[in-house]
Amino acid sequence: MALQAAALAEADAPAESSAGPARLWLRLLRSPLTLSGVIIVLIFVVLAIIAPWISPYDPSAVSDTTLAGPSAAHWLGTTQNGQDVLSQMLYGARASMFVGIGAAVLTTVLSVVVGVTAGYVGGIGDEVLSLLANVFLVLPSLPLTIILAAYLPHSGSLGIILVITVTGWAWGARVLRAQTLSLRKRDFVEAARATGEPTWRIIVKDILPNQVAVIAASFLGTVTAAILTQASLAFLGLADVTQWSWGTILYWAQTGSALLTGAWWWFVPAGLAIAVLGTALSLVNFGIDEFINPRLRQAGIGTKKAQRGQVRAGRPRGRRHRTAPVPRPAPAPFTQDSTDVVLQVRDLRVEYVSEGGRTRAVSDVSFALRRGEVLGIAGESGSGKSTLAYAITRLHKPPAEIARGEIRYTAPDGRGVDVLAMDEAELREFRWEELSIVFQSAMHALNPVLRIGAQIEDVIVAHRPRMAAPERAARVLELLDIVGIPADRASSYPHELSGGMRQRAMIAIGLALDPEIIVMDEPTTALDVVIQRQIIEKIMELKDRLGFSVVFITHDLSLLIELSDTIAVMYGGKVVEMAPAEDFYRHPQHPYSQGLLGSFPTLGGPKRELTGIVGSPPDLRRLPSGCAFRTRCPHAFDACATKVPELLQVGEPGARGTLAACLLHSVPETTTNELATGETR
Amino acid sequence: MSGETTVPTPAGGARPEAAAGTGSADPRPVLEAVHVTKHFPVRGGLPRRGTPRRVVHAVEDVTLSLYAGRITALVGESGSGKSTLARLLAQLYPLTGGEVRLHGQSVHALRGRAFREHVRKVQLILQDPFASFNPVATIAGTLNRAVALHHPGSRGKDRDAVIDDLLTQINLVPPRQFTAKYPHELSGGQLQRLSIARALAADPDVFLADEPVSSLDVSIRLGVLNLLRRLTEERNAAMLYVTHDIASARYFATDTAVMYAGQLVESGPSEAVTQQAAHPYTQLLISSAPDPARTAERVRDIGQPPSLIDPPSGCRFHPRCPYAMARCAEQAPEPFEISPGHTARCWLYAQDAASPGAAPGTTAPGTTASDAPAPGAS
Repeated sequence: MALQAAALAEADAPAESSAGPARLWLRLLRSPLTLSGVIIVLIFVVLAIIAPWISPYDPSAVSDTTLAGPSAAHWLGTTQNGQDVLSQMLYGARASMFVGIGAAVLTTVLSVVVGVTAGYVGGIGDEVLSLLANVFLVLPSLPLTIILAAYLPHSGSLGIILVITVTGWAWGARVLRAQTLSLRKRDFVEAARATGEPTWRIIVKDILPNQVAVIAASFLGTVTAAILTQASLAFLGLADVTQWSWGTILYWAQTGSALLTGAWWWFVPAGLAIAVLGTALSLVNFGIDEFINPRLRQAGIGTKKAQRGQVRAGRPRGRRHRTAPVPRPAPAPFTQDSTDVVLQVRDLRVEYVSEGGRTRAVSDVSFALRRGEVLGIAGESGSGKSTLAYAITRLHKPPAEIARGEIRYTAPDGRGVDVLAMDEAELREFRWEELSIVFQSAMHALNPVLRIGAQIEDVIVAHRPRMAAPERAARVLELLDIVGIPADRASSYPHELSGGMRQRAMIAIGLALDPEIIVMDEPTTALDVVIQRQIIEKIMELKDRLGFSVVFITHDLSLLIELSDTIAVMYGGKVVEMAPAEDFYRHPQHPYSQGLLGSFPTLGGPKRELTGIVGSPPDLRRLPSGCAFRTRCPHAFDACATKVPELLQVGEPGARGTLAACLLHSVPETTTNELATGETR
Repeated sequence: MSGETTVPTPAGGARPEAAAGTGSADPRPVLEAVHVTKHFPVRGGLPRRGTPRRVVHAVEDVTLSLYAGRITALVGESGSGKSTLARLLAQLYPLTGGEVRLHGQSVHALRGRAFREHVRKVQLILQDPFASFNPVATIAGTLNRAVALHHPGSRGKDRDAVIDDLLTQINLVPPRQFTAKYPHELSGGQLQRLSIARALAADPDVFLADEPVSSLDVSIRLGVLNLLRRLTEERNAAMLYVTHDIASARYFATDTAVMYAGQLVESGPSEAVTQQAAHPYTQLLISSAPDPARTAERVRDIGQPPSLIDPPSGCRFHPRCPYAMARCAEQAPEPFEISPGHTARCWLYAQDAASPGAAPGTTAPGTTASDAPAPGAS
């Protein structure tokens, strides 16, 4: 789910029209649970309002029909004194709803005012208000409620509202203060401040609307709690028992020994009403968040994505490794003529399945990763590059689905494995043993409450349960040494390390089992250039020393050209160009590659004109027909709209070289002159 | 937490570093930071008697000027204090020392009417376009507030017209297609244009753009940068372009200033700073940036930026500097002029007897830097 949200968020585009307020209501009502909650609550509210007009009798009027069961004259029967239970229920609804809503309004107002003020103002004001809230929080609320109610027995509903408010506001204030504190640091609040908006307006326009979900939840919760408290107090006889409420009905039923005499109609309706109303309010409460937050479905994407790798890595293995790990042949420097393929991907297609249909995020991608090679995958948001990375590690989750294709891994001993045919146990073995992943955000992918050394050890424990503890500890130190983290840092927590150190720790975890392939998804994007350089040099040094292969994914083409042997450029879910890095840099063939290379400012050499690319990356859900790039392409011609270009060899046949998916190259007579104008250098 | 955490402020006045207004019609700066210092108190920890309160030395004695119609780049790594300096110029935080001058007048406008007057002239554009819009408000709602604030008295229709005009200026047409949307329905590039529109609503004299394109896709960065440049030129506004990408500073800024650990270490015309980098830190920064066109060997570096709670004495770069001398650890260097308008705070360029081998010239450190082959250079 998270992955789909991530991909769709990446592919964000203006096409989806906004849902107006009216549509939001519709969305709320489309959820059947929420809808039934709303309807039940509304019924109770309406009944409470019109009670005096529809009640068949005066609720206090006594009659001769005592303790009669339900009948046509008395739908819900009568009490010991011959009073009509239905009328009592209707009048009782009035009192219960009044207490519930009144207490909730007062409590909510008080907690919003105190919580938001404390959170936004900060300093002394915050400390005083927080202290106040804390004092109220530690007051034992049940005895206090009883005592206060005992002292205010004849103040009617207002007294009860007061009691509930006094004992209930502090908790909400605490929650709202914490929320305000975090909202206050958000960029949009700072942006509003920088525009010069007055504080009260920032609170009203920026802080409060983002807290509506919490405020509404606490409001509805308080309504339920207040109705229950009122009923309990009345039942115990601590409220004014001459005023009809559901609690009073139960009180009189109890004193009239309704249970002993079997007069179920006397107490069941009141109990049922309380239970049904409470349930209905909870149903509304569940649905309200989705209704209020326009982007709920996209919340919390980034963290989940990174955490998943962590979870998988740490999962204990069900069974023992079948074969002892084969020692890898001595690393040989990679050359473009190599045919020692370690990972072969053929026609891989990944789709996101949703109600609206299938969105093709990776569309028939083929490549071969050779032993010791660094394959760089470049692309922008929504190009499908991250989806591809997840698919080849099979870390994609529903609704992402590999629709077709083949992924074949060749172990150092020549044994071939079909990755897509693996079951869960085989996959766990394959991941990290043969193929590991380094994620972009080291802070999120590392567990904040575990020491670095312990996290590296976890991976070893999970995959090599037989390894003795001292041997394991030695391996952890060795790994830390390999990535250049001082040994004494093994006992540091992630937050105690700098960003560069954390990324190295991630690489150490990736290397823990000496894998054949490491997939790196933007491992240096969050780092500064100087630190990035250190990490990249470390990765290259380790690769030369240990001989693994790398799939390196990033949007930074300059970086990719420097470190990759081969570069694949993705656009709209397809590989549009694949070439040795040097050739790619000197002679990019696809207009998109040319545009990308022409977008990067250079540091060395004379300044050249930056051309850039018009328009924005496409939405995967609405790709243009034919060539996906044609709407942004300076060389597009008629055929581009109808014909999907294939990834074909450019240049003389037979020679190893550039593959490009562009019609300019498949129409021989236009190739030379069209491209001459397309060259940016 | 030692007693010597007092600020190593260099005695003697540093010259206004970007004083040489080459090619500008109006030589007077629009917005200046003069010896600006900002310390943030460190939270937590028990205060001990006799020791000074622990502070983060985020910005230390920075002097920088912004001129009308010109873009000044402020380059540095995260934690170098570049974003803090932008916020100090926007008066979002109080200064610890020094002053901010707008059109030559010292400003102390942290709240109320004076603050609003200041931000009307000085507008901040933030890095993350997705985070800088209220997620539960429509674009029209957000822009409406900015317009209402800076065009008081305008009503419904007028405001809509102003918003349409703003969106046209930033090339989001037709405007009505964008105003009804929520932030999550737009792309990063579109949102960043909209935050520029929000800043434009104030019709400011100065834009402070804090990493305006860092979180955008490569192919759309250029468009946003060109938009910023066009706005600066058309409106004769001043712009501070805060970035960690020194290559983009070369292309988009007239002047470039480099910050390290809260201090301005080098400043001057962008081409001079990027092509004849004088300060060893600038050289490290340039040699670390990915650039396939580079053929020279890289400067090797294994260091980390220093703690700003207890910064190194003297020059803050000296623990990482390959040319560090004894005096570097003792005394903080002043800005020394390398060529007109190009200055570096580095003892290598001191014109006195104390610097060995006289001034090595602007290229000397770079040429001796390659002590080990860089395995990353393919």
